[in-house]
Amino acid sequence: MRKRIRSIFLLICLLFLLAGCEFKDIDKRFFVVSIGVDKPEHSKKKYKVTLKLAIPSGSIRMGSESFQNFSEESDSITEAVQLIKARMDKEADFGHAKALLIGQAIAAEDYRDPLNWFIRQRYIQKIAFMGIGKPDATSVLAVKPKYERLPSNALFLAFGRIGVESQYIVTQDLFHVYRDSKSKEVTPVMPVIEARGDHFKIDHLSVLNDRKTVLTLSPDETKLINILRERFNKTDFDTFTLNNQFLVHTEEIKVNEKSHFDEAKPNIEIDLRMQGIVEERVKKMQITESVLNAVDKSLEQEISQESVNLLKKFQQHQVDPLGLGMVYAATHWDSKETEEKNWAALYPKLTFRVHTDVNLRSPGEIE
Amino acid sequence: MTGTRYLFYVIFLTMLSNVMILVPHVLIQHRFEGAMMSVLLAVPIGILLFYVFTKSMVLFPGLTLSDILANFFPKWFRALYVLQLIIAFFWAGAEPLLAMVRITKGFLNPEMSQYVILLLYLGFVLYTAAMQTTKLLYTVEAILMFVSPLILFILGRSVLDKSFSWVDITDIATNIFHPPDYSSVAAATYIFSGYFNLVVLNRSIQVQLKKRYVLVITVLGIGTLLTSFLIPIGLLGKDAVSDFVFPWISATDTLRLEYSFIERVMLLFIMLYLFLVLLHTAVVWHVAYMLSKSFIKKEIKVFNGLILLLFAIGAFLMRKAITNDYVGFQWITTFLNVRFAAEIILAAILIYAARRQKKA
Repeated sequence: MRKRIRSIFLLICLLFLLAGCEFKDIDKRFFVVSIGVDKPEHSKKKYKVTLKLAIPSGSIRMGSESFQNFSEESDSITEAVQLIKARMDKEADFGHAKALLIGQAIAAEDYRDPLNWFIRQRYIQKIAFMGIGKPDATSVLAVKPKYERLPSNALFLAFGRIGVESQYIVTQDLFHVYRDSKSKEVTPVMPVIEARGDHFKIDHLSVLNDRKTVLTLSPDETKLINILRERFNKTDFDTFTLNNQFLVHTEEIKVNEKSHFDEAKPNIEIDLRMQGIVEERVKKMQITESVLNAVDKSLEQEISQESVNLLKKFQQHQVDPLGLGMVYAATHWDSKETEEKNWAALYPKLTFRVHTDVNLRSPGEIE
Repeated sequence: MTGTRYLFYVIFLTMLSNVMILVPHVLIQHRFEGAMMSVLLAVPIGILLFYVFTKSMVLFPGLTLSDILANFFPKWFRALYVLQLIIAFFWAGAEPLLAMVRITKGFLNPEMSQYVILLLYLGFVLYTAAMQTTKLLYTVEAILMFVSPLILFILGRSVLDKSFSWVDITDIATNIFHPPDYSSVAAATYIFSGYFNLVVLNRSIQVQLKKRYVLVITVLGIGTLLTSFLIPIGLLGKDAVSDFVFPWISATDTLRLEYSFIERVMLLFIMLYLFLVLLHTAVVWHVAYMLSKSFIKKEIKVFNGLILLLFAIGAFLMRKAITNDYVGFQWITTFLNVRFAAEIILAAILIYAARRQKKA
C-alpha cells in the first residue's frame, strides 16, 4: 500500500512538469484578433503585415473597445510578425485571430503565399474568415465602428451570420478558400471589405483563379452567386413591369442543378424556385392578383436572364466559382488527369439554361 | 471469465483509435489510385480473417495462443513465434502512441518536450497494461461508454456541416475502378484487427460467435472505414487534403460550434482521441506483456517490471529514431504492410492448430 502511495505521489510530481514553460497568464498576453497582409506602397519589400491587437478591458460596452494596430514591412510574413513582436511587451496569441485580410493589391497579383502561410500555422484557426481589404487590409483593420463592443467583433458578427444577415455578404472560411484554390475544378471567391471611415461596407465579391483576382462582381451579381452557391434565401429583387417598379422579398429559394455534359450540346440546366412577398411599389397602384402574376412573370424573366449572363461571364473569364467542374468530375468515371483535361476542353463549350419559377404569395399586409 | 461483448469493445476500440492517424494517411495518399477499391476489398478480407481466427480460437476455451502453440508445435518454434508476436504487439501500440505524442506537441502543448509528454503517457499506459485482464476490460468498457458518444457527435456534426462537400466524395467514389494496391488494402484491413488481441484475451473472454455478431462487425467496419477515409476529403477537399500532415486533426479544425463552450472542435477532438489512443496502447501492450510472461512458469515480480521497463525504453528509442514527420509516416506504412502479411500467417497457424484439435 505504501509503495502504491509513493508511486502515485511521484506521478503527481511529474504533472508539475506540465505547467513549466507553456503557461502564461492571460495578462501577459496580447490577443491578435485579425491579421492583414498588404503590399507596401513605398518600399520594395514584399509584404506589409498588420496585426490588430485587442487590449482587454474590464467593462464591455458599445464603443468602449480599445485596440492597437502594428504594421511592419518585410519580405516574409514570419519575419514581419517577429519584427512586430519586438515592439510589444506581451506575448502575441494568435488563437483568436478570426479575420484574415488580404490587401487588394496582393490579391490582384498573387495571393497564394499569404494563404499558404495562414494555413500552415497551427495556431491560426482554419475557420477564420477570409476577405479582401479595400483599399488595403491595413485601413480595414483601422476602422473603429462606434457600435463595436470588442475589437474586430463587427466583422465576426457580419461574417458569422449570427448578427446581420445580408444578401451581399458571402462568408468564406480559410479552409474553404484553400480547398477551392487547390482544385482545378472550382475557383475560390472572397468577399471584399471596404473601409469607410467609421464603418465597413461588404457588398461584393472577388472571384479568383488559383493565383489572383480575375473578376470583381457587382452587388447584384454577388446576390445571385450567394443564392446559387451558398443557397442563401433571404433576398430582395426589384423589377419593372406595368409602368411601375416593384421590390420583392423572397423567403424560400430552391436551387436545382441538372447537368448534361455528354450530350451533343453540353449544357447546364438550373431550376430556381422562389416564394416571396411584395415589399414596395414605387408608383401608386393597387396590387391585385393580376398584378402579382405580372410581377411573377417579369421577375422570372429577369432573374433567368441575369443568371445566364453571370454564368457566361464566368465562362469567358475561365473561372468556375459554382464548382461545375466538380460536378463533372463527380459524375465521370475516368482517372483524375483525364477528367481535368476533358473538363478544360468542355467548359468553354457549355451552354446555360436557367428556369425561374417565382410565386408571390401575398402583396404584403395591404393590397 | 467475461462475456463476448468485451471482445466487441476491444475491436471497436481498435477501429476508433486507428481510423484517425494510421489508416487514413495511407488511404488518402492513394485516393485517386485505388483506395476506394481497396476499402471495398478490405471489408470481406477483414471479416473473413475475423471469422476464421475467432472460430478457431473458440475451440480452445481459456487458452492463450502461447498455450496452443505449446500443444502442437516444437518448443523452438513457439519461442520464436511468440517473440515475434510480442514485438508486433508492442509496435502496434507504440505507433499510435508516438503519433499522439507528436500531435500533443504540435497542437496542444508546443513548448513541452516530446520526451516529457511520452513519459506522462507511458505512466498511464504501463499502469493500465499491467492490470489484470478482466479489470482492463472493465476499464475499456467504462472509457468507451464515455468517449464514443462524443466522438459520434463530432462525426455527425462534420457530415452535417454546411461546408461538407459531397461532390468531392462522389468524385473519389467514381475512381472506384482503379485497381487496388497492397498498401491500401493492408491499411484498410487494420481497422478489423482488434480481434487479434484474443491471442491473450481468450483466457478471460468466453466468446460465442453468432452470425449477428459478424454482421455487426461488418457494418461497424464499413462505417468506420468510410468515415475515416471520406470525412477529411469532404471537409478539406479532394485536392487539398493530401497537403495536410494530419488530415483528421485539420479536418476537425474546420468545424465551428457556435454556441458551445469551446468554439474550436479540434481541441475537444484531440482530448477525446487521446483517451482512445492511450487505452488502445494499454490493451495491446497488455497482450504483449502477457505473452512475455508466458515464457516463464512462475510469477516473478522483477521480471514483470523488467518487461514494462523494456517497453518504455523501446518507446523512447523509437521516438528518438523518428526524426521527423516523414520518417514517422514511413514507419507507419511499413508497419501496416508487414502486419497484414503477419496476420494472414497467424490465422493460417491457428487454422492448422484447430484442425489438429478437431482430429484429436
